[in-house]
Amino acid sequence: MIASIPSATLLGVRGRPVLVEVHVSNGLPGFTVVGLPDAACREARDRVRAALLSSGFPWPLRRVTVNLAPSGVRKTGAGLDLPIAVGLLVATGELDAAAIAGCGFVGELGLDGTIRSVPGALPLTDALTSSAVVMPPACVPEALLVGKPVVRTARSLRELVDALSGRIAWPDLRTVSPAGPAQAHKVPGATTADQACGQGRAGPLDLADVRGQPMGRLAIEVAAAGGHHLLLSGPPGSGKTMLAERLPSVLPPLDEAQLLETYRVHSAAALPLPPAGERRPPFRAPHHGISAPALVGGGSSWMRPGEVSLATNGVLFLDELGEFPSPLLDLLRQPLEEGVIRVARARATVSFPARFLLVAAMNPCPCGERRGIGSCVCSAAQLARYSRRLSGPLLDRFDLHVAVGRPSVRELLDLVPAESSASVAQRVAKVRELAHRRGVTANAALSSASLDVHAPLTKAARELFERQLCSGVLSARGLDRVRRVALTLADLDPSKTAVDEIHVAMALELRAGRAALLGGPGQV
Amino acid sequence: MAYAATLAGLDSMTPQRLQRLLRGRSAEEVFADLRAPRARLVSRLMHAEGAPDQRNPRTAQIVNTWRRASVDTDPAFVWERLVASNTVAYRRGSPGYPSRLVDDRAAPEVVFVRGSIAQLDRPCVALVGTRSATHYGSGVAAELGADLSDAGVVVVSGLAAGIDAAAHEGALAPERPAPPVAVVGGGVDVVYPASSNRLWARLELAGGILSEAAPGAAPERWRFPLRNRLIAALAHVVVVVESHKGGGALHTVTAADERGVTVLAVPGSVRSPASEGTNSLIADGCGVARDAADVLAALELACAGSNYALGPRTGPCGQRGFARNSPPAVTARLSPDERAVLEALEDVATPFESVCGRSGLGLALTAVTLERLATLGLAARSGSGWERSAAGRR
Repeated sequence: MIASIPSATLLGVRGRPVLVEVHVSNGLPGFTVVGLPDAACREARDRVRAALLSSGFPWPLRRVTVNLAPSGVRKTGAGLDLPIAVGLLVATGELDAAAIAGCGFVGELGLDGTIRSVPGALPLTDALTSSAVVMPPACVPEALLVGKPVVRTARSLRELVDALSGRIAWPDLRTVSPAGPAQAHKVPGATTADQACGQGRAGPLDLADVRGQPMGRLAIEVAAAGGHHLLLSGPPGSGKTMLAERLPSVLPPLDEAQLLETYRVHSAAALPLPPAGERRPPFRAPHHGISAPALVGGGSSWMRPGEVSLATNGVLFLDELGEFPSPLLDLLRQPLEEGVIRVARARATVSFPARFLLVAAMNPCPCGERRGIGSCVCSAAQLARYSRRLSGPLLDRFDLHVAVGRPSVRELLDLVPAESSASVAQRVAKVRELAHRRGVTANAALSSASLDVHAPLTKAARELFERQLCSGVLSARGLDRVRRVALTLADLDPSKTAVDEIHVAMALELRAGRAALLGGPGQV
Repeated sequence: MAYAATLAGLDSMTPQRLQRLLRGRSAEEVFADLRAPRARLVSRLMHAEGAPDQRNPRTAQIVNTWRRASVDTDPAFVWERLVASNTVAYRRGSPGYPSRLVDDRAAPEVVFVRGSIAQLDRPCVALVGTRSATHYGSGVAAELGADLSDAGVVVVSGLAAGIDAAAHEGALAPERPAPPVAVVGGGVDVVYPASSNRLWARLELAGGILSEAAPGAAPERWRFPLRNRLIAALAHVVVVVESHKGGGALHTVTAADERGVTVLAVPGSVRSPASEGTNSLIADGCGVARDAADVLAALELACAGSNYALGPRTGPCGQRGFARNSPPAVTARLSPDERAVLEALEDVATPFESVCGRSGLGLALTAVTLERLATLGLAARSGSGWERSAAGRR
């Protein structure tokens, strides 16, 4: 009178296999779940009982013990409802043990016996070692992405039992869930949150929409081509957000591995996956009121990936950087350095992927008008406080620090369309290709030592660097950063093979906003 | 001298209280009075003077503190510490005390000095203005500082951020005949604001820093209006470079008016809040300072009849627009690109994008040309933009 059903629960962006053991014996009627279930798991008792009864199965008036093995690890979520119900049916003899051999189950049960979707279908399927899995209908598209086990589904518990015992054929995957991965699961609230992040926008954003802004456009192109983190500063209404939102449109499309990783993170965070065939890198734009767990991942029971992980392989855009609390910004330093974020809690430590391109925008001062001569009304103390909000180590991560201005009336009314994202993306792809040949994904990842090999300087470029270092404009730390940007500029310039004076000068100009931010009010 | 310095360094000692204590008495006498159990005498003295803090219970309390402090303090030790920190104290009337201050009705009884202030016997011009200066203001202040200093005029300012700092920067050069003097609010050893650390040290070496507050005194708010009266009293002409409406520089103007010191204001854009104060000064009939020549003319009037002599007025000093002539040799050899970019620059910081748009060259070409011009000393990075540097002006 015992049954063992393979299933899985979620920890971070990975699934963990769980064996659901159901034991039915004589004794005082009762139903206990052991093996560190969380609140949602413990409630499975009531859902499973109701689902069985409404599906027409008898409820055993005996002692039922459910153990979730391994017992030492905390289980979260309602995805274990279905394996518990199946285990009970097997243990009470309603279902033949042979019918479920080699099959894993994941799903939440409704009181009427319907099988409901759960977050993280992709990593959960990945974690199951069985040769077949039964997933809720809405989770099928995600489960299919793994490609390994045979995916089966059923709309209700009754349908599942009939299919398992061979009385009916398995429901066709296509008819059960005709929609693509975009409709994978509808978690209330997630869609609206996602639209705020710029992913739900109608129609792809294109750089051709941006009028004027030659420096801003160049900065976007260089950031995409070289993987350089970008800080845009400028007065309100200068188009910082508009530029940043168009960065994904010039980035190279995701490859298979990156796509799967992105799907995995989105699945674990219970967010809708991008539509099938969409390979554009993700773009996440959290509001500055975000909490630390929401930014870097975590949470008390369910270790949900944060915005930095959702932006992995794509762009993390922090608008109004100065408004983010500085402890929060300093949390970004580890992922920027290592490409992963490790969230440590008393019960578990989870690693989330976090390889993103950081783009930030801020006003040059609290009133935003510092760039215009004499129009800033901020006091010296206010300015000092404002620039202190960003720690030096964080500012150092930005290779590009560009001050953008409001476009002129002439530029706004200019009817000549600007260069489109597609043609910029072609140049970006070529530079990325060169970086791959150097053994890195982008020029920004080149080590200082390999810079000498891959980015030889011409005599004029060397002299310009010398002058900058001697005059104190450039620090030793800044030198390598400028060299990487100069290399990207040289790569974008098909006529040049070495890093020339013109590239170094442009790279310095693309970093000049930094001095303006750190300088005093009237600093010349 | 040691006694006066010790008295100035007592807790809660203000310039007014020190003046009241020392009126007609030597510092030794006052100190002895304080130390002896006759401290009541001092207290009575302060009351009898018709002090505004009469019947203020704080007065007795303060005198009591002083009495205790004076018992614990050895003036010789105070003096030793002053000498060790390269600080000199001058008692009013003693040699070395600034002669312009001696007859002032609010003259400080003691001044503390680091560096040298002997040059205060020469004609002095105060350059004052707002701490949150624009590029325009700091540029003008630096230029006036440099030109006036070249003409042998001592630049007096307050060593605050903004206009003050720019004026001192301009006036500080190794071979200038008249090194600048800073009058600061706190003690001469209390660097404030912390960002002017380097300027402070350079001024100590090349010029002088003066304060009526004892070394170690914190730069408290109330000290600055008092500091401004010293600046006004020391200067023959006060030039307000930039001032917001109701700015602190206007205290200096009031103090200068009380003393009959000429006040000039640098006109600014009517749209710039940083020039609101100066523009209303001009509207009220104050003189205009467009460049150093204007200031020198006013200075000549102010010094007429006195035995002050301006430095040798050689070269184009008397003409309008002096020190603006660029060496033609450099500009003549520029390439067309360089010329186009130089044309696109202004005297105030211009965003890189605007320079690029005006010159008609591409982004990268503009960037590299600007760097070349910077090497030639014709252009300079300024904030997030570029401006024509002194040599590039015509």
